[in-house]
Parts: sequence; structure tokens; C-alpha cells
Amino acid sequence: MEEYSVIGKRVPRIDAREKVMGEAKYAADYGLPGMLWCKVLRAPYPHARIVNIDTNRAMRLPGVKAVVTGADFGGWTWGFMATTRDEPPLAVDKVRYLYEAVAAVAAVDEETAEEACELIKVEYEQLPGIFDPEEAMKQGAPVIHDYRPNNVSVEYHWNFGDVEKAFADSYIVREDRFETGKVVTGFLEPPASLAYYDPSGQITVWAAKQSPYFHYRHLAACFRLPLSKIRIVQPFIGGGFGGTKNDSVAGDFCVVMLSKKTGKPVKYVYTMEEVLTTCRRRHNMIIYNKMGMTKDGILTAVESRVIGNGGGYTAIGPLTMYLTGSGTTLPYRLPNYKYDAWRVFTNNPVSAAMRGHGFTHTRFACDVQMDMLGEELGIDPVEIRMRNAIDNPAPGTEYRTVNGIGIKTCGLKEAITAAVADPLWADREKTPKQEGFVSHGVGLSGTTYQGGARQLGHQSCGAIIRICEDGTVNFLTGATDCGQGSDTVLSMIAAEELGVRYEDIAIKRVDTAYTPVDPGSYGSRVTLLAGQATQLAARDAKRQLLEAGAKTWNCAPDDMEIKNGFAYLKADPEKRMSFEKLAKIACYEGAGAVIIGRGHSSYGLETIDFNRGTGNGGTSYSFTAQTVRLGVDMETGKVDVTDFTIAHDAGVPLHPVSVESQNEGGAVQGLSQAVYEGFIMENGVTYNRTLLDYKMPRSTDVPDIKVIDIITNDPDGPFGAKEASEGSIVSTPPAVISALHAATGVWFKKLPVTPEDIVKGLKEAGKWGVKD
Amino acid sequence: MGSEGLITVRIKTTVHMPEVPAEVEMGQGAVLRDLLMKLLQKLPIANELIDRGTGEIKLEGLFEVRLNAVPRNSLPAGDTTELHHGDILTLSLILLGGG
Repeated sequence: MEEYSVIGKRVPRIDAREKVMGEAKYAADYGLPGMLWCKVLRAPYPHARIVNIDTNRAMRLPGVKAVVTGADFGGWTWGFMATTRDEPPLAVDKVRYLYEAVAAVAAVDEETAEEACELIKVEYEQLPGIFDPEEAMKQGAPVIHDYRPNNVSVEYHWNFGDVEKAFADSYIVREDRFETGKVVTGFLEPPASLAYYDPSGQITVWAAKQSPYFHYRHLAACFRLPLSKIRIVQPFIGGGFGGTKNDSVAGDFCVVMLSKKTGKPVKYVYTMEEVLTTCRRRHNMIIYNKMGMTKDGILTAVESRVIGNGGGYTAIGPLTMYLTGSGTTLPYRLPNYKYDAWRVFTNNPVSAAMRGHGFTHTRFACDVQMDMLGEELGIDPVEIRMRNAIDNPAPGTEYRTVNGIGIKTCGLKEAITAAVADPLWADREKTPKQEGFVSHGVGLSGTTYQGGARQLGHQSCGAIIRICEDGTVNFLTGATDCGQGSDTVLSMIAAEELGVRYEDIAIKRVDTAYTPVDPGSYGSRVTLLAGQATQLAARDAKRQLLEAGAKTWNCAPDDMEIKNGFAYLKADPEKRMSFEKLAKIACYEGAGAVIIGRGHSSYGLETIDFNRGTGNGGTSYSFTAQTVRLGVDMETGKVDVTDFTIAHDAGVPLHPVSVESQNEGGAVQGLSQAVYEGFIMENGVTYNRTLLDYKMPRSTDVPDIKVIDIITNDPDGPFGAKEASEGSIVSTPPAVISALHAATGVWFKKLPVTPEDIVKGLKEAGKWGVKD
Repeated sequence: MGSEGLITVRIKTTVHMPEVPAEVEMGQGAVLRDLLMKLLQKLPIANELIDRGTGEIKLEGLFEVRLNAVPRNSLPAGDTTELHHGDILTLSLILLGGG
């Protein structure tokens, strides 16, 4: 592989100093003179008709400047597709989940705004609620949206190959019911926004958004303004993970409407209780999975029936259900596949996207079921995976799944080989199996995730590189660094392409008035698509510089190269000048010039057909093999996860520190969803509504994590890169389940696996309280 | 040819839209505009797609429309393209957003 000057180096993160020094400003840190505070009034019922709203008493409270209700938005609704825009900023006719927003107040301080909310009198007519998606699909269930009288928000029925024949011809077939948990995205910075609707009719917003250009479009549509009048200024973002910060929430619209009404800047900051009871969360999915194999453990067919608990509105559900099904045909060869999926409205908070979007559900079910079949066939977990794993295609060739996903590089077999060669797996028989009540187990998984998400519509990223006359570089991208480190990686790409030092790149945070429009930070797309835009912009600027330099040296631009801050003649590297001198020549010669490079991503599109399940949603796909070691207390069911080894194919790790930290973060989040976290809900009520009760692992709970890079050098990624932020959240839950099985002999099929579940499983298996 | 001299146009959608049928029968001489009006009027967002004043069909940024795989905006006769029995109309919804 080519030797790079910046790519692959462990440079410090570009935002490290500000964050470590506590100087990074987040949305909640912003304020303006005369600013008002917004608080949102929420419904006390999960399903009720709104009969009347009386805001008079609230308006009379001293310090209250304005009150808004759903009627103020003139019937406007939003959603991810034209046909599913079913969500209003504030409920209008009825509420569809507990604590849905119904009104909002702007007042001189938070306390007054809160007090005013209590003075708003809302008259409700309670309606019967429906909370279980399988119950909600039944005839006669309460209807949540009139436009979907069967409560089915979206459904797909795909069929590839001949599943029935394949099952009939299989040596072994098993059917299991799996379920994934009700979990929150898990950012620490709650949604917040400061908005000012100024007298010229322009809206300026400082908002915690990982995809600010969605919000920019939402505000333009909601307030019927041209996009040029909407300005989102991007503060630092305290984590996103999809869903809420890729969307708008009630507070986002209310602060703008309240600012319009009062002429003052208005700010809201959600409480963590609002986050845990009302914000977007991962879909809870029920998966009825049927898998067939030959006697030799070769996959013959998979049939998945998936029911997604959608909550009160559609949001991004159609894409979720597509991704949940499409990922099943990876990373193992699967010739026959059937998928029936229903996303169902319930009177729960809205389900949407989250890190590992879609793939987490069916890859969990399929990877665990593959292990179960392997056990029945007497084939060990490594062998069953190696027999079925996709080979790494020869350069210039492509593997196509039965549903049309194209794979140009696949490091799964290499990853499995590396993971099981690591002592965590290789020496597992050398460590004690049981110590007292604690039984130890080591598990394995092999999974995949798509990178470079692309779909029909405005999906291209842009970049602008401006060369300053002193040889430093201003870099504009529309891609948001929401904590994943993309500003660092994109700056590295710019530096490498231009041939300058990393520290000479000054990246600016997103400001929709100045930065190029960008789809957003989701689907592991920023490094790949914004990265390609950055490469192209840097090449454009470099071309202009070389043309100026070539005139000076009386040579052709192609005779020159720029590297490590110097321009030189390829034929005579001793003849060189500094990048600063080259920039000055380019900018000052004659009447001077302005060196601006521009680029936008152009990977093309293979249209996703949601209805038929075909398409190629990513530009490339990452592959992960993971081992987990844990101990289970056979009396109490307590699980202590001590070690992870993650072998991850991210193509070429551009910034190894970020690749490692993303793998670690994804794996810990996956661990959390495997054995720690989950909403405790009944009849639409969330009982664990603080981070004291909603359990996530603390730093002391995090296992030792080893990350092994599997290098595949993908032809489509910038410098060979693939995704490195979502693969390990997909690989961790099945690896944990595999380890739990190794420790207890019991298969657990519902996430999260709680100590109570383990004790119950051990009792059923006659293993409860087994001691060394 | 369909029943009583009607022509049948097959409708393909890329995203679940229960309001849109798999096939539509149209009269002889019907053009693309007639078909789109018939289909779009069934959608909950019909008011947004069809300008009540001018009758203009506004799908840019919301749907990609193809007739027999040719993009609507590239059809030589545009919305006045005459339909034929067996034509395939594809309606692809454009998503605003990702994960």
C-alpha cells in the first residue's frame, strides 16, 4: 500500500483541545440578549382526543411572553417521505403517545415557563390505547392514524430464490422467536436549540443536530420560507447516534414560532426525563426466524417475519424496515431468502433510526440461530461461520447477494481467523471454566454493516478548499462532526491530497448559510462520501496551485508534485519550494488569483426498491468478527463481561485512533443493549425515566477491548476506507449471547438479557445455582 | 388491450403506498398527466402535489417518476406522452433523511 504523509497517522483530534479544556460550546451554552426560555406542555395520556386548550391563565402569568399550540402551525406535519408526513410539531386533534407535546410557552426564565405550562388547561377525551405491535395489527384494535386503519405504518414482502423448496431439501431447519430491546440512542447532550426569527424574516438557529440540513428543510417548510432565509449554526454536538438528532423535535419548532411571535430569541433545552420518555428510540422488533442448513452446515434458506414496534408516528420507519431485511443476506452466502415485515403504530414514543440501523435486529437473530444450528450439527462456531462466510472477491470483481447488494472487498474470513487466533479465544480452554458460582464463557460473532449510505434524492456531499496566501487552508464541509471525529478525518484527507501539514488545515463547523449542503451524519457515510468530496476539492485546489507553479518553473503542472508542505519537480526532487511560497505565487502573480477548490461526492446510485428488497444501499460494507469473554453468577444471574476482541474490516483505517474509539464505543453500546439497558414500559408508561434507573454501563463496567484492523483497501472509499462506527454495535449482542451460552448452556433470544432472565433460563435448564 | 378497449398501465412503487394500485385502467388516448392525476389524487398529500390554481403537477424533490424506465422530465412529450397498453409507470419516493 502507498506510504502516506498524514493518512494512517495517529494525529491528535482536531477538536481535542477545546473539548478537554471545557471550552467547546454546545447548543445549551449559547445565549443572546433578551433571550426567552421555552418549556413544553406534554399530554398525560398515551391516546386521547384533544377537545379544547385554554391558554388564558398561562398568558396572564407575569413573565410569560407567548404561548403556542398545534393550531399555530396551520396543519403542517413532517416526516421522512412525502406520503408519511404524519407528525405535527404540537399535537392538534389527538395525542398518540404519553407526554406528546401539546403546547409551549416562552417566558423570561425557565421556572416561569414551567409554571405557565401548568396553567394551560387541556381538555382530553381518553381513547383506548394499544401498546403491543402484534395486538395492534389485529382487527378491531384501536386505530391510531385514520390514514392507516390497520395500524400498519409500512409493510414489505420480499422473496428471493425458492425458500419453500430450500427448506424442504434442507437437512435441518429450526424456527425461533427473537426480540430486540426498547432502547434510547444514548447521547449525553439533550436536544437544545436557540432560535431567533429576526425582523428581516430570517431564522437563525443554534441547534444540537447531527444532520442540520434536515432541520433547515423542516424549518423552511414549516414556516413557509425560502431555504436561503434559514440559517442553522452548528455548535459542538454531544453525541448523536441517529434518530432524535437526525430529526426535529417539538421544541425545535416551538422556539422558532415563539421567537416569531415575541420578536425575541428563544431557547429550549430538554431535560433527560423528556429524552427518556419522548425522544426517538430504536425500534423494538419481534423476529420469527427460520433457518435451514445442509448436513455440512451450509446455509440453504432464511425466512424472517419481523414486526416492528413503531410508536405513534412513521418517522424513518420505512427505511428501518428495509435495512432490517436487507442486511440478512450478509455476511454469509444465502441463496434463498424471504422477508415479511410490518412496522406497526402503537401508543408508545416514536421509534426511529439508531446506530447499526436495522442490521442489528436480524443479524442478531441470524448469527445466534446459526450458532444454534451449528451446535445441533456438531459443528463449532468458528467452522460454521467459515463454511458460510463470503470470500474476499478478487480485485476488480464483485460478489452480489441474492437481493443485489454488491461486495467488492470482504475481510470476514480474515477477521474470524484473527479473532480466534487471539488468546481470548485460542486459550479459552486453558482458563478456569467455573470459579465458585461464576461460570465463564467465550463467544464469537461474525457480522456486517453498510457504509456510505446512499439513496434517491439529495444525497451528495460537498467540500470547499480555500488556499490562504500564507499556505494555510480553510476547509468547508457540510458534514457534521457529532463526536465521531469526522472533522479530524476529513482534515487529514484534505492535508494528504494537498500535500500540506495536517495542522495547516482549519476546518469550520457547519453553518448552513456558508457551508455546502450535506445530507447528514448517518449511515456511516461521512468519511466515505464527504471524504470523497474533500478529496475532489483538494485535487481541484492543488491543480490550480500546480498550474501557477508550473508557469514559474516553466514546466508542465504534471511535472510537479506537492508533499509534506513542499512543491518539487518529480524529475529533480531537490528543486523545490515551500507550499507557502507556492501559495503566494498563485495568489499574487500578476493581478493575483483566488484559489478555491470545489468537489462533491459522486458514487452514483443503485436505486433501493423498498417494496421488492433490492438495491445496494451502501458504497461498501464493513465486516466484523468479535469474541467476548464473560462470567455468569449461576445463582444471581449477574453477568460480568471482561474482554472483547474485535477484528474489524474498515478497509484502510485513515485515523487509527478514531477507528479504535468508534469500534470501542459501538461495542460498549452493543454490550449495553445485550445485557444492561431497556425501557421498562407498561401501557405506554416509561418507568425508568432517569439515567439512575435506565441502566447503561459505567466506565468501570467496560471490558478490556482489543481492536484488530483487517485491511482490505476498498476501491470505492477514499484511500481505501470503509465504515468503522456501526459494525461493532452489530457484532456485540450475538457475541455476548454466544458467550452466555458457552457459560450456561442456555440460549437467550430476547434482549436485553437481564439477571432475572438468566436465573429463569438456568432454572428451566436445571442449572440454577450450579457451583464449582 | 384491457377490458372494453381500455388500456392497462402497470404501476410500480419503490416504497409501500397502499393508496396506489398495482394496475390502472385508462381510456384510449390517455396521457401521462391523466394517469398521474388519477394516482396522486388518492394520496393524503394530493393538495401539495397538484396546484389547484394551475393544475400543475409538482413532484420534484418528492417523487422520481419514470415511464417505461424513462425519467418523466426526459420524455420528449413530457406529461402529454400518450399511454399504451402494458406501459410501466414507476413512482420512487425520495426520502428526506437517513439513520
